[in-house]
Amino acid sequence: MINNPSNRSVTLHISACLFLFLFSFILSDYHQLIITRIMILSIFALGYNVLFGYAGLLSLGHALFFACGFYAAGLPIYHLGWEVPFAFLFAIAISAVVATLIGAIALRTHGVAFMIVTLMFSQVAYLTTLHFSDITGGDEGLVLPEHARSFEIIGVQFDLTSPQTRYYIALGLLSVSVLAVYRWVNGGLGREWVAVRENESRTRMLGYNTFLIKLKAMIISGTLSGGAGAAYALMFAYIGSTFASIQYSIDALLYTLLGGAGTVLGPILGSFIMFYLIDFFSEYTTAYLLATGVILILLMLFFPLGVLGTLKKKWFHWIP
Amino acid sequence: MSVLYTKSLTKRFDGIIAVKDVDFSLKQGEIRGIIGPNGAGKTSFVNLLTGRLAPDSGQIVFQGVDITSQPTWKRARLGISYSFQITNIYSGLTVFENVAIGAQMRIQQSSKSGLPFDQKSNLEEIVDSCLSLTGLDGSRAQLATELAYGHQRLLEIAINLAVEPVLLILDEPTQGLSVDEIEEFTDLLKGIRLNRTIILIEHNLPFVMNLADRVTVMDQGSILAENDPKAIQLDARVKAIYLGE
Amino acid sequence: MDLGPFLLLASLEGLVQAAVLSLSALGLCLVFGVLRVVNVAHGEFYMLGAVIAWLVSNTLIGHPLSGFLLALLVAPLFVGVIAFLTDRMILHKINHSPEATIVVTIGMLYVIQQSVLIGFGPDARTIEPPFYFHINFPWFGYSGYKLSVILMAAVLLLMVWYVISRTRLGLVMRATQLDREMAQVLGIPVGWVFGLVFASGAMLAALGSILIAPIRQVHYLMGLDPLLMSFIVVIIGGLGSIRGALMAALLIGMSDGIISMFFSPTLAKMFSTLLVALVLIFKPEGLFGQRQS
Repeated sequence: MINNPSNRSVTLHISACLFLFLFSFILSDYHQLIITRIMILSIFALGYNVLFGYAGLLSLGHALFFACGFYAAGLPIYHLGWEVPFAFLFAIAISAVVATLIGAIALRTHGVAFMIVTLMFSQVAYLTTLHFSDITGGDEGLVLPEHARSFEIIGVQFDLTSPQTRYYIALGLLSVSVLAVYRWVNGGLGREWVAVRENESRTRMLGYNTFLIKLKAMIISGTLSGGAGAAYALMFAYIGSTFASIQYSIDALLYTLLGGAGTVLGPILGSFIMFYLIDFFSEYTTAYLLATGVILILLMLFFPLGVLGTLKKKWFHWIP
Repeated sequence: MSVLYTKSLTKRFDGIIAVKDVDFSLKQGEIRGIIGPNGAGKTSFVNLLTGRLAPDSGQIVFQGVDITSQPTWKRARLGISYSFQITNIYSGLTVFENVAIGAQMRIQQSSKSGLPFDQKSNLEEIVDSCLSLTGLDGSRAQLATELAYGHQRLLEIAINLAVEPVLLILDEPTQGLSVDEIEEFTDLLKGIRLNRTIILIEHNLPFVMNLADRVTVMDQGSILAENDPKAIQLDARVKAIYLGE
Repeated sequence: MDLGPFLLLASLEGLVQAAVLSLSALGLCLVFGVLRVVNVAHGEFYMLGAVIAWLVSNTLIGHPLSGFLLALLVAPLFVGVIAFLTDRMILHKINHSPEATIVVTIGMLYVIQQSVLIGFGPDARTIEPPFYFHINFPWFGYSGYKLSVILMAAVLLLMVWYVISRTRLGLVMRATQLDREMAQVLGIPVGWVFGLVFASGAMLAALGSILIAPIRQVHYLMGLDPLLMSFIVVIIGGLGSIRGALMAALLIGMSDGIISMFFSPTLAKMFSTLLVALVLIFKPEGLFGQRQS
């Protein structure tokens, strides 16, 4: 059984999730917090990778989707007193709608124009959060009220101030996302994405509606990113404009490139590496941006496939 | 009954008429050669058929459906499959995946029309049959880019076969092939013709004359002559344009 | 102030803005036109020019004019050399692939910006204007230096025009732009031409920032706005079209000041960015460029 490539890769993915679960027992509070953040941002990168790694569309504006879920979850809670689970579902739905709209417009462009257009849309969204600071709190942001720090689903109480609970929720969300993405990319849709990435005109000549295929990638990618944003806002009870800034779009790109675009686990690995690399250097902001720049350049020059991509090419062809 | 016909199809580029008033008709199951000197409008004509170009005027009807204003991918779904002059494959993917992309299209199409399908096993079945038809079964797991040029041309055909086209358009299929390879290729086409209608655009006259049921000669954007291969070879006008070239 | 003089003042301010903008946008446009790549680090070369100008003019004790003139010479050269080296050492290695270049130049943006932050600090500095005199209109006085900025930019633009259209170097550049492979066949060292064009693009940005530095402030984040504005200009002008870019620079530079009087700067930026994205989607040949097939 274990020698069958597809079984092997299923095993790999399940053990990755299991490993993160077992890991939680030995982690200090500090690392538990960090890994919770990493896991949420991994979902963001995972979503980014659907578009970039599989469908071959390089977006420079994914912060828009992250922020979309972020605010769509946080604002109703802050202003309207919504419950957490409802706000979360609402944010996911809004993200899907926004991704569809942005996709329908931006996918009229190709290559470099697509990169710039997504960048600009995202910039517009960022400026919007700044401009309407009476509602969004702008740069300073808003802290979510007390009632949003816990919620109940079918009788079970979840306390969002407990690091342990947050860790397991993040892990749960990540596992669901990983399995969903794994299913998609290994099914017919994944084949269509790769076909578009590798040779769009050929794919069109075979009868595929490539625009629709790309739009599907955009919607799935945007919704996952939005879901990650919503989870982040709810877990840490804070919403602020920084999370809509271009920095977050670049981070998603960086995690994906570093871990390996076009591999399911790559973006997750990439976010872990980046976070702990930065954690290693103490002076946070300056070192972080400088490291981002250096790593981006080095990756493109010497390591364009990323960690998992290189492993996959050299030894483990079965990694999906 | 004609599977495809065009009515006074015309295409201009910046004042130059590439395709002029072409009335063309194709019978179900025939192999049609289209020949003519460079710049005769063959490729433009075929691009009009596949939808890569939009005509300025005229009409294209495929299996009774007016497809004149339909996009490329819709025409492909109806069964018009085009094999590129410059080998156009998924070079970064394996041979299997290349053909699977075509096969998946066929499965999607047939499951839409209500046929029950067990997708996965069916996909592999289709791929394997296309690979064995083209003699590529040995290279299943190889990357397409690693194939020899002649095999890449075969892969191109295999991808097209996988979608089970009604009409297969081959643009200069023998270009760049050796004499031996052309011979194998001729056998291959004879083997796969079955019920398919095929258009061959070719420079290699012996190849066309050997395979085609009928030959259309194009010159300066219009159809100069159309007949069976023997008659075409004897046609004085055809000789004139080829000798005059 | 009456409307007439007010408009005169606004157009003068707009012209100063347009002058600097056209220099930096021309740089971006040149690089896109010949190399077919978008240089996201363009704004950082702009910033680097001003920072080096500040260093030069501050180490030189004497009349501000001599410091300024020296800076005008040294800073663009320095920036040019850095840009040339990055092109040869990095962009050349990734074959100037359009997508990879964007990612790499984003990396360069961070590296340059953060290095300057570390070395130069987060404070805004000022460069003393090389000369002070006021031109007195009947209604208001106006800084002579600002007028000279317009003049200097015009002279520089003329020089660029001369190089591109009248010299052998310009011919080689245009040939490379038209057909890269053909140029290679003809024996043009395409790699070097790319390096030179990339360097010239960066130098134009640097020149723009040095001219404006005595009016504005020198700061490690000062490159972001010009980057955005240059982008807008190049897109509105039609990607790669020099004539279009110059017209767009004039239009946008002039209108920017006026628009900011009616809207908040954030709102103005929001609208212009959205507008430009839509231009790129629905009218990719720009408003002034010609459609290319």
